[in-house]
Amino acid sequence: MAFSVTSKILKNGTAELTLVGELDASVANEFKAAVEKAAAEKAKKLVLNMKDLEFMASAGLRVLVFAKQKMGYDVDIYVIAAQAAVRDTIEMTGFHHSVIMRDEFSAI
Amino acid sequence: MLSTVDERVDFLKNSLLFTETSPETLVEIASKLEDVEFQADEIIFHTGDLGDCLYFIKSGQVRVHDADRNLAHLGAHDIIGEMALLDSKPQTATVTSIEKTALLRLDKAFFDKLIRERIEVAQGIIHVLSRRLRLQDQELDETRDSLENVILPLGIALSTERNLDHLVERILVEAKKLCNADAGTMYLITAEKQLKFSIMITDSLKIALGGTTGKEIPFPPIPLMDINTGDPNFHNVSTYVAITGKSINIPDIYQAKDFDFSGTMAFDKRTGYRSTSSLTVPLNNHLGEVIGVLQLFNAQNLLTNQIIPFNSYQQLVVESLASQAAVSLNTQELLRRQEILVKIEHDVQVARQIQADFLPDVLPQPEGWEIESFFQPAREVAGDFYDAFMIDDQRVGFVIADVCDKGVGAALFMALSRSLIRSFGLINSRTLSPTQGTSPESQMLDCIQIGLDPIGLTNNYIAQIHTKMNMFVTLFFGILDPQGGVLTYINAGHNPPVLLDSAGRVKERLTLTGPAVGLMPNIIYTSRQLTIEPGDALFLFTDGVPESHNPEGKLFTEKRMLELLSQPIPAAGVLINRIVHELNDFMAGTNPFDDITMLTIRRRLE
Repeated sequence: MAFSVTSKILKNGTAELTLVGELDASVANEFKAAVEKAAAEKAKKLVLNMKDLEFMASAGLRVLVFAKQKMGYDVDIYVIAAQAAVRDTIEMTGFHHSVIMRDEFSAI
Repeated sequence: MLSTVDERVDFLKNSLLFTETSPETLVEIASKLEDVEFQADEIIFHTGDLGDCLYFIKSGQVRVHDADRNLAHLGAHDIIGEMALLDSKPQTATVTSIEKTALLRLDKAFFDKLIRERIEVAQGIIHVLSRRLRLQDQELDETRDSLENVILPLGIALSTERNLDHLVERILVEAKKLCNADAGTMYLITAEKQLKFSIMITDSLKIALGGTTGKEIPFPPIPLMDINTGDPNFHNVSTYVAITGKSINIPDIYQAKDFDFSGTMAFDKRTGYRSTSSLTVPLNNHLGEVIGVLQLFNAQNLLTNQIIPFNSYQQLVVESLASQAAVSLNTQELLRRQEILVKIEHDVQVARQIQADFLPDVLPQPEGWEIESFFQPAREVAGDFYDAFMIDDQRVGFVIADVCDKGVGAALFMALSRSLIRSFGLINSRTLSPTQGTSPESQMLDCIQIGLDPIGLTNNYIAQIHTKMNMFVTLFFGILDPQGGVLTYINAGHNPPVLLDSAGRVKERLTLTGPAVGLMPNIIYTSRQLTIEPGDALFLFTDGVPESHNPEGKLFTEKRMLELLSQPIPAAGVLINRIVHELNDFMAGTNPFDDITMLTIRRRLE
């Protein structure tokens, strides 16, 4: 399925990105641009809604690394409702230690 | 304004149609004429209309055209509409007023009567038609001359011209010459979809900029699309031609309503110039893509140098010149790219050789052990690597790693990571005094405690200094003491290696002890230990193995890899060959998507 990312900045300064489809090297720049925008808005939290993200290649992880660097290591990144394949990719590389994995957004 | 009969007679006398007609008849004709007036840009008649009259142009200018092209520009004393009257067929072209135009209209019925009754009028018609035939002959001759003497030789000259500035200049100069045009500009389309001024010449102002002049053109490139909305820029005639690939021929830009000539008008105001007629044609390459735009201003009468509109014949010739030019420009661009490609290819080959030096020539083979490897880059250079080296007299250090990208970027990062790990790994053994190392197995733990953990140091270096590319490396680093079989390892986000017994049963997966290197700074990597028993084999791999694709796009999968491992293992090489063989069958000639690397360390049965 084609990749898409939609973003909104919530009133409390949280940036929420919803990722849909397959995130590989060919579309990673769209995700990166959305993160850059959130960083430019000085978001205090980054919430990544991954409920409908079916696949994430290492190029997607690179954007997560970029997000950490760009937004600052003190800005929390929440990964919400990641599917098994995406969760495996994040956990395999140990990146789950630097993001907060949650099942639901409302839990925040 | 209505004209009197006398005025009309004076006017008709000068018409080629009535050179033989007596004054009395002229008075009769004049009395039957009707004054008609058109404002600028009004259609006088359309292609396909039935002709019910003919017109004499008293003053003003009209253009005869079809959907794409101007066929002729006509002015005072010219006649329009007579052909449809003579052969009773629909009009073959549309006639539109260029400026405010006054006409005298002669009705079809009266015209027919004149032809029937007045032989001298019929003779006049023959005069008019003969003159037109002669003009057409002349035009044909000119076309043939242009083809023989200008376009064909120019095509040959252009195809051998290797200097871009010379080429562009030559195209513009020849196009100007063909139309006796006073000024012209060549634009080339850039990769950013902008029209870049390449050369501009205005003879009467003695201006020549760009091209071989070495003088810079002070105008910024014109974007083809609006930067904010992304809409095509149809306001500017050059960008319109670049986008649509259609020529635009304008008799007087100050009368033009479809395009914004404010830039040209500002130029006129500054310089005292008067830009009038303009011809803008696209440079289409062999793929039908527009690669540039050629714009000419102010065509001039050869004898009087009076400024006139560009005629359809000139438009045709300039269009064919532009096509020739586009082909030459394209050829030149292809040659230039080819040269760059050859250079890149050479660089990549050098990179490949250098990278080969980063992989061990010979793997250490401690007594009672076998170490075997397999390495197949997906491209010329790889992001995977492996290493095995003696840390001291006794212990073997080994690494398998995968940089998160492919190609040259990953290869550079591979070189960096591999060198750091090896250096930090070696520093380890040298900086610890014998009293600090309680036993070889725990030496790595000691190193970590005193901040000399090779992976932690490599991670900090990469995560703090090499942050721009957001690269990371998954890697497995082990230190093996061959005597007792104790393995101390760190798994930094890498696919867990598989420990197998001699029957091929999975004894353990060596899972993560920390995140991939480069993800974030200040990680303290914990290490783990286990013992490799006689007959056991440790199989290490990168994700290129389970994620290999077959021609249908299916993955090889880790499950299939594990099935192949679950058979008795007579030797380390056998294990690797088994997987290589199956992978080759599976991929069936598909280009590998990712680098494939394997490393097997087997302790022989005693």
